[in-house]
Amino acid sequence: MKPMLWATWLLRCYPRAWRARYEQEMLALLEQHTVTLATLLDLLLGALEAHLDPNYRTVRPFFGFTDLRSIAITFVCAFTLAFFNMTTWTGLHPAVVGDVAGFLYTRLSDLGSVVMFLAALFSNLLVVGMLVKEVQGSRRKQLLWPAVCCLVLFFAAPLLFIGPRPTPHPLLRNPSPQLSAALLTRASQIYIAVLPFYKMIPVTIAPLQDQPSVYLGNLLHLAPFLSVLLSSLFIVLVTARKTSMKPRLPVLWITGVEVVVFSLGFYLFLGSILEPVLGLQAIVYLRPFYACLCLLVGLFMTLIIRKMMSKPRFSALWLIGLLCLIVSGFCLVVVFLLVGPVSRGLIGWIVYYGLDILPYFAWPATMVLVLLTSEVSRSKGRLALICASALALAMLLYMATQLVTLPSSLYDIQLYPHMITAWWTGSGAFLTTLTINALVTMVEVGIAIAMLIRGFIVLKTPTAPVTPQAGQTLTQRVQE
Amino acid sequence: MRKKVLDLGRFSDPSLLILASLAAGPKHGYAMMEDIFQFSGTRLEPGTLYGAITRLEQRGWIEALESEDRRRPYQITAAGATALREQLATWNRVITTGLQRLPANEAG
Repeated sequence: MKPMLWATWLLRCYPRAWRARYEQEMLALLEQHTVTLATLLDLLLGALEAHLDPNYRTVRPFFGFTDLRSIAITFVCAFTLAFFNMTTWTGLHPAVVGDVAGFLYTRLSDLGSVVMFLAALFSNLLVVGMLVKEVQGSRRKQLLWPAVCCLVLFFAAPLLFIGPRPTPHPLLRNPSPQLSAALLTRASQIYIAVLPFYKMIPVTIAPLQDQPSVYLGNLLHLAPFLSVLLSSLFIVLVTARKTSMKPRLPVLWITGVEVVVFSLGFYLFLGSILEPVLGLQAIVYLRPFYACLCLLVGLFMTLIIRKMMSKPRFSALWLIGLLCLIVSGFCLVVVFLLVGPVSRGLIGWIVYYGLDILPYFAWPATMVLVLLTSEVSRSKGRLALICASALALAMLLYMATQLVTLPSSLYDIQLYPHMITAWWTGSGAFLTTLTINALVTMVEVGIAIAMLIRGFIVLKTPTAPVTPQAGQTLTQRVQE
Repeated sequence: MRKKVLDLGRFSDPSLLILASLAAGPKHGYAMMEDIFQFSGTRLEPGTLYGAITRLEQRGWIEALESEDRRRPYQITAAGATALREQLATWNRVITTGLQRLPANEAG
């Protein structure tokens, strides 16, 4: 690249207000000047200096987004990454290979899932309730039936999975009595006993046939996914009837589905390619990288679609959305098939990843849908933030339960050493990955919470905050 | 040799050099750079030059003139001229004192 091009690029590093004032004359000067490495370094230092100048520094608060859209997007990114990291952390757990219901670790993990499930249920019901409340007069009656249908479906769907209970694994029949005495274990047992249709289904899938029964079909994961699907559907039903929002919201909804489906598809694609080559252990290690890639693909798709929103290409978007729905539907059909004999090989993998991964994308996708519509209704935005806060709280609780389970799993290992393979023991890479995962998760959780706080502050402001205009210095703003 | 001693770039006092340059009349950025190089041997780079111009303009010691060209000329203000005089007087005292003391040190 030519030095002048570098110089022009470095000029973009200056604050916007500074550039509005000096960029043109600086460019004129650079055209006459012989640009050297020293010039480039000098420009870089100049840019730093300009950013430190209070008169030209962009006035933004800490974590300073003033528009809900940026807050929403940042929250979704942080939330998704944190959740993915958390699941990875769980995946790297010493007891992962022996993820059997007899382990205290598994039981405590279930408790965390219950907390997540309740948070998702609470959030989505709130959103649906508020949407019904927002609709005026006679329309409300028209919209009540899809709301009721959604709720009935939500509560009825898990019942479809009641079937003949498989023979429990020996470990289930002989759980260690000492561990059963633990308070949290009892609590989780009681809860699961109250809700019999949320029992786990033991599945043996092809790649793990040499392992004892591994519980993959956890319906606790399926329930929030269904709730998200149905409440998202309901959001579209309600908002599509508002003429002013007709062209916009379906596209936003499709955006959410895009993120979910593309991420899932990408994950499965990579998994199917790499698994035979590298084996299951490698897949577990590669999860964080998958997560990053999925996130990037999802965000990339979101950006493309958001760009397309400004152009009249809605028919094409509808087509994409329809395709995504078909794929989602296919995944659901596969879930139903799981109850029958077709629960082997690839289908097992699809179900595993579908149930395990999809909800973590679907929740934030729902949140972003609602948050992005908040420019129409501030109350809706506030509600979405409350829901997102509930999810964030659930996330923290889940994390806490996971941390609690670490010593418990070590205890489990002592009891059932034959259940644990040696791949994780004595491995420096294992501990390093766990540490990095925990750190990244904490950072992402912090960002997500900061975004929530920021969102509440913005919504609490009586009038919508004005973003500083380009080229407007602090002095000019103060004068105004 | 003289150039090497004075050519401190960003760490010299570019503001003083710019004021001294503009004391001879309005100039745009490139003309200032050339003029400063002529009378001081210091080649200011664009980043340093405009950093100093920004500070001087904020203090009201120089002001931009209208121009149809992209190259906007600047002129020194009355406050700038006063500041320059004070600065030069200070430096003058420093130089005089330094020169007076140098032979004494060498003798000692």
